Amino acid sequence: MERWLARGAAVLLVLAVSFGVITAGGPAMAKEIVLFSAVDGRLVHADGSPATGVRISRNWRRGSREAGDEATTDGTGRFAFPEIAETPGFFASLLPGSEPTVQRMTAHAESGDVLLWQAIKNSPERHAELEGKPTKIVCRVDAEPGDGGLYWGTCVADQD
Amino acid sequence: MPVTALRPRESALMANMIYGGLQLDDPDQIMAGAVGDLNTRWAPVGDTIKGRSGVGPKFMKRNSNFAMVLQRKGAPTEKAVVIRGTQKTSLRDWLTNGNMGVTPGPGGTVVHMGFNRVFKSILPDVDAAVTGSRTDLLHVVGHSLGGAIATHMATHYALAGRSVALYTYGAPRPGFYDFSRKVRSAVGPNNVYRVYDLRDPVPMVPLFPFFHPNSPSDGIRVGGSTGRISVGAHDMESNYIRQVGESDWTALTREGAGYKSHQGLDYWLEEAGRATRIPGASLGLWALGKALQALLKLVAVSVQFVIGVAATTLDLMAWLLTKAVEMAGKIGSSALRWIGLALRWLGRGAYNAGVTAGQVTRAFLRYVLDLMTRAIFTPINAAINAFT
Repeated sequence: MERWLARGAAVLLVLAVSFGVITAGGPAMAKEIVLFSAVDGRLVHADGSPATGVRISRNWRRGSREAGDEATTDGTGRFAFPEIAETPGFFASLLPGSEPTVQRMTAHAESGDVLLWQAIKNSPERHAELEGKPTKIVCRVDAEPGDGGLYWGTCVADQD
Repeated sequence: MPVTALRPRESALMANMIYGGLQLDDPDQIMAGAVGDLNTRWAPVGDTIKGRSGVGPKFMKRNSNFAMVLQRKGAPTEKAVVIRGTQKTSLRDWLTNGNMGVTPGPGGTVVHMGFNRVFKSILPDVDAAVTGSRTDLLHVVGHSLGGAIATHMATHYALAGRSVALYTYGAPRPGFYDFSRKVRSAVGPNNVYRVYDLRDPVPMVPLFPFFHPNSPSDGIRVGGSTGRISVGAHDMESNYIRQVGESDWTALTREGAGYKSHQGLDYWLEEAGRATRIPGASLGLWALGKALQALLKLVAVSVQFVIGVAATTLDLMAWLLTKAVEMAGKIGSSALRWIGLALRWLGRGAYNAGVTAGQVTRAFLRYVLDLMTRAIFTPINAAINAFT
């Protein structure tokens, strides 16, 4: 009897999943997990003048997985990074719970390294960093990183 | 005593912020790294607080940031304890374990053993921060598992005579009925802000006889009443923060008040009858849960008494339901109707006609209840089994 029940239960479980009794998606959850939205940034000095030719490294870590890329500011101090996204594994997409991503951007200036941006992204959605708006930011290359801006670092939203 | 509550968005930002502790250690950096501008109004008190999580031998690991204590800038006697929930990888430890036991809680109540263990592991450090300087008002905030622990924490401080307000998002049920009454009487019914989304599976567990803390409106429901159960609805940052928006508690309570929670058995069986036409619908499961609670109250068996004979929560539910079926008249026929609706919710409506009182053994009921639990959490179990 017990064995029959166990087998019946197993069949029903498969049915429950295949008929979509539980769904991973829904309006609140994107299929893709955006780890780092595209960044449109400007790097400036204290007087507002552009910091040109500065190498900026970007890193992100989710769980124990870590990766990064680099960009260099142009003649107007602008730098850009593409969106970083991953598709969760089938099972991972079905688990409730949080798996935040820590995001960092560091400028490698002549005077030394400056942590421009350190944020925690706890949402899978695009543009969650600025609560729905594109990540358009202006960052100081010669300021002490702190909590006065958007996140930890030296960046604020770019109004230009 | 009513206290001046945090605005919904403020409490939601806190509940989300604490997840930064999974990646960072510095409390100022966790605050600044979170979405929103909490750090312009609140400052951390002391270090992040480590907790113990996991079950069995893994429980002893004490390496993860679980909580922070904050104080309001310019008004440091107003403090907040913020507690995080589970990582995706460890949720199973708490929510899918139908065999997780119970343990004595505050004031002789019965609470969930897992939640109580984490609560006890963080209490000494939380207490050091709360009592280290004058505290006149204490907000206790948590999401998911953190909400269940926050419920313990708020009750603990309220029983110690402090002014406390409790805010939970998508929290599971923390204890038995007597504990839920204790929360209400100690913290005060108007100081409990329990926010949930019907599509979020986590507030549905553990099943009866676990209860949410009573509050006048039976919690504050956001996100409407349609849609299927979805783990995405459990997300703090992409669902709950958005759902509360800039609303105040009065508006949120009014918007979510579409269903009256203190209806009788017949009302809930009717609701379940309508809502279970779509197998797996979140509204159907909710109505079934309400009907079950109403039914078992009618059975009038002391839950405390039955704990002695039932090994697990599911056993206990099966035992109580069997009692209901055995009872003559209205209770018996209502119990049979409930079982039929439960089977229909599971997509097994064909069984409906065949269920008679003679067939309803404890083993059969346990099987039905087990199926319901699994229908909610099968994907989670599947995920765990695939990797372990």
